[in-house]
Amino acid sequence: MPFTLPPLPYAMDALEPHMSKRTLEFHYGKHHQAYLDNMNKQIAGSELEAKTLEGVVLSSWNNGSPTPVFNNAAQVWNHTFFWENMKPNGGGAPSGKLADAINASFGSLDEFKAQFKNAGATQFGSGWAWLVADKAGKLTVEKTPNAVTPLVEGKTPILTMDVWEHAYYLDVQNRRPDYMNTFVEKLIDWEAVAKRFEAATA
Amino acid sequence: MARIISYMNRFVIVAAAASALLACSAQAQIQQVALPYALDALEPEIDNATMNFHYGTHYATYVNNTLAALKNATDSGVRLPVATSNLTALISSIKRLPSPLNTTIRNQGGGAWNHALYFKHLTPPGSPATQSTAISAPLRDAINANFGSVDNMTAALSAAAGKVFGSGWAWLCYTGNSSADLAITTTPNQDNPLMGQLPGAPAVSAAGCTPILGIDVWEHAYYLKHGPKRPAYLESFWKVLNWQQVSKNYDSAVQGLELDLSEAAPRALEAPSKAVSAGSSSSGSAGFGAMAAAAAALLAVV
Repeated sequence: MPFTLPPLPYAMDALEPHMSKRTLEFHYGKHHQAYLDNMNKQIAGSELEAKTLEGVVLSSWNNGSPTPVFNNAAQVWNHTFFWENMKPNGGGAPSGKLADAINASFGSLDEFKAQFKNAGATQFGSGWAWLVADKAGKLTVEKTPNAVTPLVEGKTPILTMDVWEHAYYLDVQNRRPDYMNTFVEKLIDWEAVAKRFEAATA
Repeated sequence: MARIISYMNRFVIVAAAASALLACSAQAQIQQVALPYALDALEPEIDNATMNFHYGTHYATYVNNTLAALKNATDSGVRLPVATSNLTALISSIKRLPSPLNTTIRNQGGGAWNHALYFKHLTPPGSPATQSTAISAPLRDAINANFGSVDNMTAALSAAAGKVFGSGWAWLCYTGNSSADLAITTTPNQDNPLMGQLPGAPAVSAAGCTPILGIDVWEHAYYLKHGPKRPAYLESFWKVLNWQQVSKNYDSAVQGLELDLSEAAPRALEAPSKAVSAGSSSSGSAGFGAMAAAAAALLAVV
């Protein structure tokens, strides 16, 4: 059974003016779709077809010697995760247990934001910035190159930000810091992040 | 928008001229290659807006960051094995640079070198230099010997460029190996075959070879005009490639000379002024493995 893409959780223009419709049309409609189509072609007729997407990602990671399937499978997973942690009129601040955990792990929300943006800024080339939770509720910021995801280290991400140039180039060109500020202040769906935190620490 | 872009064109030309004039009076140092064409001259194949950002911001930033890192290192009394004015020697000596300078030179210095090669070997579409008749006899012979034909080579290089995942470059490079002296290879991010096989990096075929032709496939090279369609950009690339410059690059590599990446008078508004060549006249050598040896011989304390 080939995999399919979940629909975008909002309309293509719903994140305007923070992330343009044109960006979403390319990012979801072309990049994400192409990763899916390519992955499906690669796994057609193999035992990978019977796995969950996460199973395909972990299997193709092949303990650090990834097969050609990995780049596509991981990017399918990463992008679905990315859409789900943004919303129209996002931003603001987390509350409840997540807020407490952020304060406990980083000292303050501002300090978390600074570290998260620094991870995005210092991931040279293409990649992702992540907020990861362990079972005890300790949070850490990580960055990965290209398609790599904390899943392959057995970790549980609860938030991600795409820093491939295609995520921001139409909107702010080279100004990755501007994109990251906008993402953090205007796009993050803290409720979605909180739900993932709950699940990670359950 | 058009007015802003034409203003920016003039600004970049003035800035390039100004920095070249400054370079004349100061110590030679790494600087941006001055463009031998206007920022909008590669239209419609490479658009003006992309050139403004790509040359005026991305490339400029790599150069500035490289200079800042070198200044920081020398101010802190770090002894470097090569002259700070010689970008080719620096990137060829990555493995001998102390941390964290080695990472900065790899990323920022690599970016500076790669973009110098790239912009220097582009030229307006339709100009004679873009025709395959502009390929020198020695380079044509080498291409035919290694790939069968120019068309075979460009197809293979485009295929390699299409396969790069994430940010990176595809290269035609000179190996110095007499039985197969040209090779196609790719590197991630701003890595370059001259850096050799870097620890922890994916395997680079023909590591150590000297690039004579480079295709930038970072998304910033094509996204404004083509969105995700990298193949469309690759088609355009071949229409603005300056085969005369590629032939010169091959010639330099064969002779064991460093590629001349930092010369060219700035595109002056009035009388042309000469920019100081930053290190390109040094007696460095190129080719498979020879670069590192030459860099070692260039010991300079700064």
